[in-house]
Amino acid sequence: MRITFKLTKGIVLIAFAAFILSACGSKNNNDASPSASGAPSPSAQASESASPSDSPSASASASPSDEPQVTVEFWHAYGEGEEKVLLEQVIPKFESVYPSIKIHATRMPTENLDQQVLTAVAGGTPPDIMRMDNTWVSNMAKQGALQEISGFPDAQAILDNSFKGTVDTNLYKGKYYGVPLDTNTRVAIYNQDLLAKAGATEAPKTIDELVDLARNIKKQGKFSGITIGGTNVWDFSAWFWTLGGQYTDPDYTKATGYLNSDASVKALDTIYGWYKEGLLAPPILGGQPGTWEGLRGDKGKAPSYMMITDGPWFFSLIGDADTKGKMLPAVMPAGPDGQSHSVIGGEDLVLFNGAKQPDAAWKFAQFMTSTEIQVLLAKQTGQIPTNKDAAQAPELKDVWYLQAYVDQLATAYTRTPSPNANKINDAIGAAFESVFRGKAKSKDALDKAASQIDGFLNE
Amino acid sequence: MRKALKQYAQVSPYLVVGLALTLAFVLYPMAKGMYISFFHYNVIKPETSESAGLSNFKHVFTDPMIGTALRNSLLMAIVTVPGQWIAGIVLALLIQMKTVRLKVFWRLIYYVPVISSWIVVSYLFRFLFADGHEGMINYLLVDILHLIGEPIGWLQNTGTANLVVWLVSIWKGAGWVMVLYLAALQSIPRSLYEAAEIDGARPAAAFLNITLPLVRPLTAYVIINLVNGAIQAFIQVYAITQGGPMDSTQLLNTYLYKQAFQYFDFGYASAISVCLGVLIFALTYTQQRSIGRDRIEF
Repeated sequence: MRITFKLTKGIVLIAFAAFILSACGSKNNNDASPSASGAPSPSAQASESASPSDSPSASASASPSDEPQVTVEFWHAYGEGEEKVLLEQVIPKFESVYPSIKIHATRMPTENLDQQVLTAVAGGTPPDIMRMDNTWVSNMAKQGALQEISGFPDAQAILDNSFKGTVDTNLYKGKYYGVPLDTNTRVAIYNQDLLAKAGATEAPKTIDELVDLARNIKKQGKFSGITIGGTNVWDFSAWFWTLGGQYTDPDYTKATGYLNSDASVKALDTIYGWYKEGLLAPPILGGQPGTWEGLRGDKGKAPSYMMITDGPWFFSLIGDADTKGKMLPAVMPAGPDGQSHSVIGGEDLVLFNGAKQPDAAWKFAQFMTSTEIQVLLAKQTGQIPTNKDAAQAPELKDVWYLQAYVDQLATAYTRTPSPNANKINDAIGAAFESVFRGKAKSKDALDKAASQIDGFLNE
Repeated sequence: MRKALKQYAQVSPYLVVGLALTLAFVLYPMAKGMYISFFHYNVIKPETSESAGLSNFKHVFTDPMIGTALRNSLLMAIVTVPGQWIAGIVLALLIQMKTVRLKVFWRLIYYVPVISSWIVVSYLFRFLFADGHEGMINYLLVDILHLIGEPIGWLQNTGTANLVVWLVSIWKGAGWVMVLYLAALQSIPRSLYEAAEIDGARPAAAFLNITLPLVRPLTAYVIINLVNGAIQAFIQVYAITQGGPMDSTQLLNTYLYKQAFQYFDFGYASAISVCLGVLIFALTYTQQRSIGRDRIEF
């Protein structure tokens, strides 16, 4: 019995050693494969062009007649209405201009999307091109997931013709890893009936006016005058910034002295004061009903939120019938400096390392950032163009709710761009939340977050 | 000796399959995880990973969130292991009673949670315990039974959020314990109970002095598995609270998942998981040793 036990042990050890060795061997193979993304491997080349003499870039730009089809994998997380425009108008247009290129568009779920992207890239099956939240780009670039774009034709021209704030989201260590596709911000959206109930005929111009209205409507029952969707940076920043708060210095290198400055503490205390006074709607700490349900009423329940803040998709998703004349978009009320500072969001188009059809995918990126398509998307879906020419297009005036967003963008701020953006935003959100849950004083919470964020910015 | 070798040659093809699978899916990932824990690991381009020495492990012992996560993981074990065990035994005893009919039906009912998807039951509980009047439990407590005045924000407070997580864990695991004990109970000779009855033993005494001692090997096995499962719990928190509010319901597993897949810090995540592995080993080691030693002959 003892001998056989030793024997099994021996077999296990030998097999284990063999396995380790073979694993090392296969690792070497893996090490060799990344070069394939630089110079296409034979198989990739074969699939791209039948005749071996054609270089990949020539095959993509040659005359369409005798060219083989290539398929570009495109990932996006467009909403339902936006996807319809993409599939029925944008892609058919592209494919009629470039008959040799097929776009295979996949709508990804937004939940855990970054993890799915990472898994796909690490597993060697990334899409060619993706519409990606612009706060992810620098981190994905840091991970080595994305291609640097300066080598592609006319890359600089696209960047030059886009708004600088949106271009900068593609930056990592001085190089660009994507092109801006669309941008957005959040404006105040008022329920006009409740606004009238609070005693106003038009949107309040200043924070003080808004707070007065909130007090008025609170006296009339279970109504909330101000809705902040949560303590995370996407929901909270606009209020914090408008009231004079700051996250970092203008160059995004330091949080201490900014996030925990007297002005920042005061801004946070002001909002916390609203909360204690009962002016804020339940969503600030995750309560029900949600922002849209509270503003519009839901399942037979009457609306109870006078205002929320949200992006242009609020109008494009719900549709004119239920918003026009009922929901009023307006620039957020101004703070102490006479302006309001909302938060900039948006999406970039990025190409992946390991993309099978980088050149065809780039053609699609050029197409998507062209003035024609940017205007089309803006008109049909309310997405604000990043292309400067498209943003000036007179057709955009037809979209009734868009002007408030364009005006708001003029004074909007971007969230801290950094490969550690996730950690930074979590730290800020946790500081805000700890104050609202009564776990910490504003000053202490912001001091702690500032020192954490200093570390993330210096990493 | 020669005979033994010959036997090995005959069975080796079958052993090799299992061995290969274990190597590929257990030992290799384990070794690789330990390896990663010594690096600032870049999962997309592993060749660019920088060595981290012991800094990832140092971070484990200085990160205040580890304390919270460890507390929650240990509480998970302290609450749900006895919870599942007691619920499982009680169910088994109830179904085993002479007066209970439709035994197969009851067995099936209580086993259904075990075979249902974790994701599905987690979401189910998330909806049951939703905030405001929209949540079923709140509706029941406030609007039907009038037990409380205001709806409870179940998932907005650390205590109640943990309670929901524990409830789903116990509810889902009790059926597994029940089935194992049902099998064990059937193997205990009836004569022992009859003898006890003649001696005037009450059912409770019979349970404590006959049933429990006779199923002791099974109990050790069940407890080890429950502790193991509790410390390694993941989906219930991931799907119900996402660690919130304010990361106060994170378990070690959900926290390391966040480090790996939200912050892309695979080195640190692996260091946490290595420590977690050591912890589980330590917690179950003494019981592991005794398993299989005490055979009970009837």
